[in-house]
Amino acid sequence: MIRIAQTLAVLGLTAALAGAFALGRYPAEALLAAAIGGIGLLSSQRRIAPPGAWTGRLIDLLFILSTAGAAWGIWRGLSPATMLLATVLALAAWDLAHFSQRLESADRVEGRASLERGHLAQLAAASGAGLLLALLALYLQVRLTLATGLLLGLVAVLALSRALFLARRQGS
Amino acid sequence: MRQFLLLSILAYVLLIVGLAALERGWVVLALPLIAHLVASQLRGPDVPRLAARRSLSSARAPQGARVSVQLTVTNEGADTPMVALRDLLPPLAALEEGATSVVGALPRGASLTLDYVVSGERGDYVWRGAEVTVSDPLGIAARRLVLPALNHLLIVPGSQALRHVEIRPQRTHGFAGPIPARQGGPGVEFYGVREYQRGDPLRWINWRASARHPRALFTNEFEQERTADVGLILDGRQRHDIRRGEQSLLEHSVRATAALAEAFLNDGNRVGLLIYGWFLDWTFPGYGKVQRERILRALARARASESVVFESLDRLPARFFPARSQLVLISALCPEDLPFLTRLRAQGYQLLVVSPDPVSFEAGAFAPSREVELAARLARLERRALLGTLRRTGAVVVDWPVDQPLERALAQATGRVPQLLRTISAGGMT
Repeated sequence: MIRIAQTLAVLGLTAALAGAFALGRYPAEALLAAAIGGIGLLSSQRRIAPPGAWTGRLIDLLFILSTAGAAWGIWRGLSPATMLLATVLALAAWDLAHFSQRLESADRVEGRASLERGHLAQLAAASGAGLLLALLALYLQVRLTLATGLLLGLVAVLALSRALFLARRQGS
Repeated sequence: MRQFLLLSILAYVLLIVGLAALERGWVVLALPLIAHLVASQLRGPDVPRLAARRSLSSARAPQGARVSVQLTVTNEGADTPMVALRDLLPPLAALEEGATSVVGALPRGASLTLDYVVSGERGDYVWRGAEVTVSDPLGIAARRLVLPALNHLLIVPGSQALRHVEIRPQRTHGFAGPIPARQGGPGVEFYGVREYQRGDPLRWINWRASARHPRALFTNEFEQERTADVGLILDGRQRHDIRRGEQSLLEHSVRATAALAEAFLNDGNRVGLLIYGWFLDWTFPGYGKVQRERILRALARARASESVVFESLDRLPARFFPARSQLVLISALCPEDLPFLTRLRAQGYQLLVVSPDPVSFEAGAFAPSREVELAARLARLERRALLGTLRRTGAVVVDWPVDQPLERALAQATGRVPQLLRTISAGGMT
């Protein structure tokens, strides 16, 4: 179930990125996106290597490259909605890859089907909410005053410090 | 944690660069990542209340035995969507079958169980805890902790059973045993003849001697058989632990010590053990099964080690052993040990040296060639000279090629085999 979802996410991501770059007449970027998608597909089919430390890093690298590709597409004037979709699919593929790696690193998985179902439901909810929020942000324009902007900046700084605190706590 | 960090960094890079470049699209790209982070934190793992309990099928096992281990982790707190449990095996324990890690959901009051079988070489194995990683349903926020669950497994050396080891210490105890006590009395072996005393059994009367003396009766005396103090000394110095691939000469010495301890204890003797290596690992003398267990436990921990202090046998405290008792040294021996062993003999100790042959053991590691054969021959000559000198001090020396049963080597050296046959089997006559 997870592998199918991961494959679909990688295929969707590749189609969105490579298609958008190809339609925008950026063949080099389209090829690069197709290559990233191909590696992601091979990785999702376990054809590159069994799960290990470096496959985890490869998954991270593919995710970073896909997000950077989407940002680059927006910079080049491609459809932001398509790039947003590519980012959400990259996030889903990355999440599923790590999830299946966690399952495979254990000798035994108890209640695999229910774990997978629960994870897919959570992922669908989080990705759907993220996509909806981003689409709203994309098509709704709100004018902010300087004070609101500063307030939002403060919230961002506080959130960053909270994120770092959580990261440190998890690390310890 | 890495995933959490990566998502946070990516989201912030997109946000900050998007704001700096006034590119709304980049800020929008960060939103799904932030939503993912927020979702993971909303159902992030609280401080889990888990309890681990591990049970072993046996806390003590002989070498080569399989020991079943069961680890159960119970959730005593709130529901936990995903738990990865991994048992931390002792470094040298070998997993024979089963699983040492499991992933699953752990609702309140539920348990995750791991069943597996391990085996291992001689030694003391310690399980300190089990590693648990609790994460949110998305697996972004994780909390790793080690639950304490202390267990010990002692794998004692296997040994071959020895029937009886012939020793003759000068001092024996008052209890009946198998060791000739150099005193007349009830026994099996003929000891001498004395004048008849009232109460002597009629079947003990020596009728031949009595017939020669018409006015007197003579009674046979037998040698009393008693128990004695036996001090085992295992040489654990690194210099004598010769290795041949995975095999170690010390392992043979340890097995021999276990077999000797068992044989002496079975005969009713009081046996102590001193392991001479990194430090003086002294097992106080005792009798019976409890003492056998103590000795096996000490032997399970025995390791070859290098120590400047205990480089030579001179630091071996002879006062640990009762005067004129039987000492049994298990050592590959080197020429520097000779003066100390001579001194032990001079102090009145009966000395039995069981020496695993390091020359034949080490020679087996090399492919046969003329040079190897010549080197082995020279080493054998040197060793034969050393053992010969030691025998001349009155010590009984067992030259034991470790690929042969110890019992045979002991029988050749200590048994009542005629000296001529013994010399021939030792290769002394050419």
